[in-house]
Amino acid sequence: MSSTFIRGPICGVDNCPSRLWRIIAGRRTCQYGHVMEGDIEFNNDDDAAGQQSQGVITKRLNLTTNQQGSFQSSLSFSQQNIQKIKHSKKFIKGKQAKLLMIKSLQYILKKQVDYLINICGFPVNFENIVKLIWLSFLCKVNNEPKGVIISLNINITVSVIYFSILQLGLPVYFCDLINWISSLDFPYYKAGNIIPRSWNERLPNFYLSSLNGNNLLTLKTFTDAILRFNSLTHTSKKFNSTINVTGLIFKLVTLNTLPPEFFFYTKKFVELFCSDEKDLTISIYKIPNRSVSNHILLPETYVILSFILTIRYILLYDGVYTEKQIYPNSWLEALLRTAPINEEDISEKSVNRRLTKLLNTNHDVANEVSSNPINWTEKETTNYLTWIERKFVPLEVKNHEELGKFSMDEGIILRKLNDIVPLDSTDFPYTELNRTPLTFIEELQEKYLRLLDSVDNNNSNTVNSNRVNEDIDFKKRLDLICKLENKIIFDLSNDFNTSVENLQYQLAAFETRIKTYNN
Amino acid sequence: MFDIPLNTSTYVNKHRVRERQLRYRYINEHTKQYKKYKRHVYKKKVLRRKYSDKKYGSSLDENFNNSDNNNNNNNNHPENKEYLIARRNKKKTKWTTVYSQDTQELESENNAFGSTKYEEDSDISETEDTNNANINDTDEDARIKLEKNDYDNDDDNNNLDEEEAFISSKDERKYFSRHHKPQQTYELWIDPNTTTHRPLQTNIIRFPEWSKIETRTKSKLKEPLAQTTHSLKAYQKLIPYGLYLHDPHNIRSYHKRPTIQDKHIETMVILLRIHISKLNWSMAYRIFALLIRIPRVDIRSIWQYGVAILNQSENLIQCLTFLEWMHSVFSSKKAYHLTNLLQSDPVFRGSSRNHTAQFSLTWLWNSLIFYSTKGDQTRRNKHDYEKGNMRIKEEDGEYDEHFLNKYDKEGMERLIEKITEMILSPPFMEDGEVWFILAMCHMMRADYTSLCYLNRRGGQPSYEREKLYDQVTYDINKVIKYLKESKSRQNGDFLYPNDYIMRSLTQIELRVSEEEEEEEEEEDDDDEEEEKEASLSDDTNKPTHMSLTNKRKEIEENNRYQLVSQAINESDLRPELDSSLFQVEEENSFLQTLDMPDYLLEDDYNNQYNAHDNFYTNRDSDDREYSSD
Repeated sequence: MSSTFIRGPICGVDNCPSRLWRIIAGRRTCQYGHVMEGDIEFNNDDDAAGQQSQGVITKRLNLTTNQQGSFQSSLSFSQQNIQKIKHSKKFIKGKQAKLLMIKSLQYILKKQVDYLINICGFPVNFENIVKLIWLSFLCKVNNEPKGVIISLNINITVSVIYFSILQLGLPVYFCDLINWISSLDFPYYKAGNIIPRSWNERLPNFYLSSLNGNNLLTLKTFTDAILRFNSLTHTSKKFNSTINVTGLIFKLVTLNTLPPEFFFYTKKFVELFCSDEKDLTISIYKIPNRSVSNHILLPETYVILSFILTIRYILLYDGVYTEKQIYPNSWLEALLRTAPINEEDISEKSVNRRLTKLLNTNHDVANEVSSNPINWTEKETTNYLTWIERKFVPLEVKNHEELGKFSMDEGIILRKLNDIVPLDSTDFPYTELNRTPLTFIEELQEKYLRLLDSVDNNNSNTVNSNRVNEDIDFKKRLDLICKLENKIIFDLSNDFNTSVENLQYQLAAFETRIKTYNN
Repeated sequence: MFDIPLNTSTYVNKHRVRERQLRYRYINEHTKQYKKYKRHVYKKKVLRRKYSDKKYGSSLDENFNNSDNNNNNNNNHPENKEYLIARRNKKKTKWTTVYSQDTQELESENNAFGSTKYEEDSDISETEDTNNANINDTDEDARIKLEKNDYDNDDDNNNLDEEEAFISSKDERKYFSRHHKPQQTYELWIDPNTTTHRPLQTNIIRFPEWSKIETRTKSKLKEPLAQTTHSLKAYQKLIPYGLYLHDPHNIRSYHKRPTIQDKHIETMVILLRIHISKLNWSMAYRIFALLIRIPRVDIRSIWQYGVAILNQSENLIQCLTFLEWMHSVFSSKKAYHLTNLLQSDPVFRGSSRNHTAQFSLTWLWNSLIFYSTKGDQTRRNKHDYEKGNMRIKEEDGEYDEHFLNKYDKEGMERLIEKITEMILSPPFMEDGEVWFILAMCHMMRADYTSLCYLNRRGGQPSYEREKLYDQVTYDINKVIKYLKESKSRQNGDFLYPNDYIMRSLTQIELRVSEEEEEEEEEEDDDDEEEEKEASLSDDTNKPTHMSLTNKRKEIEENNRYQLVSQAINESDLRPELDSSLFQVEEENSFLQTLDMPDYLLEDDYNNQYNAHDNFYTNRDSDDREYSSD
């Protein structure tokens, strides 16, 4: 009836070029009489209303066209499908995905190196070494005829960093890396969200999950990763791959507040028994095998084990081959009893160590006293909560927001909730610890002073009843040495994120090896 | 230590889900088998009774003896023939569909052995039956044997012919058994069919029977366990002994290694619980506020702590707003489909079409208490209404004003509006508790308006007084109506102090009617009618339109009210449970009797804590306590 034409999309049936549409008997028909596919008619008026008022009143929707020139109100089914596809994520697969994966690994590596140089005070030269090793990896990957063999995950970047540390001979070890990771400073946890959003959207979930370091690195996985990387790129052939032994020994001695002579003892011990090239370097021939991976050790573990053995032997034979006991029982007791430091005086490093301890999943939390949150003091809890507030929660929220995981409504709802339950409520005041963060050296001094004090106290208390009953004394001493050793093993297992059983097993194996070595 | 409160959409621990699935499957299967056994024993008894009354034992015996040679001999006796036909029919209808298998087994005795299917069993099974029958001397035993054989046949899979006949159906079953059915991962708490209910521990079960049940359940579980891991198989072996699998050396590979995120959230939840238990509210609040901000934490599993903490703040509205937020965000009206692959906990954390969320109920209760007291529950002291005799006198003026100040009129209006709106849609519509809360709201309003009526005794325009009077009668009517409604609803069978409510209603009514008696001698009949409808003892015999003796009637009525209330008080008409639960003498408000507020126990610090604990954590159980009648 009405001959007014509306401009719309091209009809396209039988190559019909018409863009003009009109409505004939409720159907949208083009200039040449083709009926539009999937046309929807909107009838807003009630039938009853039409009957009552006898004149027919029709309501027309203002037909607007979108960018493509089609009517917005009516979409053909084919068009709808196209729109749906557009909304869904476009994942890339195969070789392209692997390329993008390597790209994002490189991006993460850059961030990690930035952190190490700017905040941890690594030498500027470090970046060049990392670049060299990364290039060797890229070269290897590129020349491989079958493409990438090694499984791409975030541990590759960590191993690149580790190798460059070895090359420069820096006194940085696996335990430090773990500490940085667990304090969430070092870009490892949720690293997949650091990369640009366009990359993140295109990567399939499998790759993304391998980019996110969701679990804390354990000693075993770290060793595996490094050996795999080495077997692929042969880095240890081209670069220095022996660890900085003296630095590690010094670290171990100071952390356990032992007198300085233990440094030399341990060094001598290492020179004697770990002089083997194999022990202190990473060789290509240690190809990781899941079934026998227990026997393949990181060079650091050899140093740890020899440190423990040194303490054991020296304390056992103290006073036997020497005339006077240098390390009396009172000293041992004082070592075991190291009083807890004030929470205010704790350094950043110790906080991170505690976090690592908390995250160590190798032993049950319930069995321990110190890392079990039930036994935490109020100050410890406050410290932990401030850390959570500053580091953990912002990271979580930021990741969600940046990735667009919140819809608009969700964001509004959550903001409302945050208003209802604000962090700083007047009804529930909390006192922040106003601590001036000590440096690690200051804390160490504090520790040694405390030890000295407690030793002095012990000496004054105990009456000099030397060699009254030697048997009992010896038994007591043995007991003390065992306790001390267990304590050190426990601490080290926390620092290196392994189980106590594993370390003990390794220790036994190492001891038998040394005995055969002597013979 | 505890389950980590994470959003289930992202967090699924497959090991745990599988273990739970297996455990409940075992339990369900076991109970099913036990029920079958019970039914079998029950049948035995019934049959023995039936056939011992009618005496055609000898003929049956012959029949069974002859049946070795000729099956047709069975048809000699009319009764026997009938029985056999019935049995055959039973067998034919055993196997219907795969989908309705579970429900049918529960529903009907005929289909009790639905998992085994015998369609062409006439020859083979009958000969077997008769063979068995020959061993027994009496016919009754033979009959029992017949039944028992049916029961035993389930285990006999030796017969190849049978198996061949049902290959097709078996394949179908296998196919469907491969699919994970989430409804099997939860224990069946309630058998929907009440006809199959039989007390569990009426008889002692002997070991042979027990072992039979045991083996049968094991054989049922064989199929789903065929392609699972060793650890799961080992776990299945441990279930009957009530043990759990704990492998310290392999624990990391067995259970998923917790991620950094999980670990921190777990730690925070532990800290939250500790600090709540230590009543260290400021610390607990901080932890809760931090936990809420982590996107992956599911608030639905920690909101109870939030309510407990926020209740400690001086700003009590904060708690209500939080609960309202929970209600508006997490209450969904979708039906909970068992068929969905939801491996999460049941709906009880949230809401569904047939289940009201606990946080909405808590919200309603809390706001009812808050609006009627403005958060101050110490308003009433013991001497206000002594021993249920709630006659209002001049001395009580002080108290009245106190109460009137505490009552939040606008808030209560809003609440009533809100609930009446809610009641129109499914989950709340069918919940008796919501109706009950609505009734209580109306009762509070009636209490308030009646006191208003009393308070402005002098110098008040009559039309306003009429308005108030109308309001009171309207509210009282509503209370009674909604209480009836709540009883008729799904879970409305909880016990509440009906007597007490009715008594206080009469008291409220008295306040108004007394005034009518004193001042306005001529009262509208309509009002009176309403009043009568509303009153507890709806005396239908009472004449309604008596214009001449209007005044006298009124006086009589009032006296009657008093008499009723006195009679209730004097005689021990009230049930014991009622009186023990609701100490009317001490806590005069019905709200206070519903849940003990901690404010009443200010003397003893420990008591306060306990009461508080009960108040929030066991609210659910408190409410349902009455339902245990």
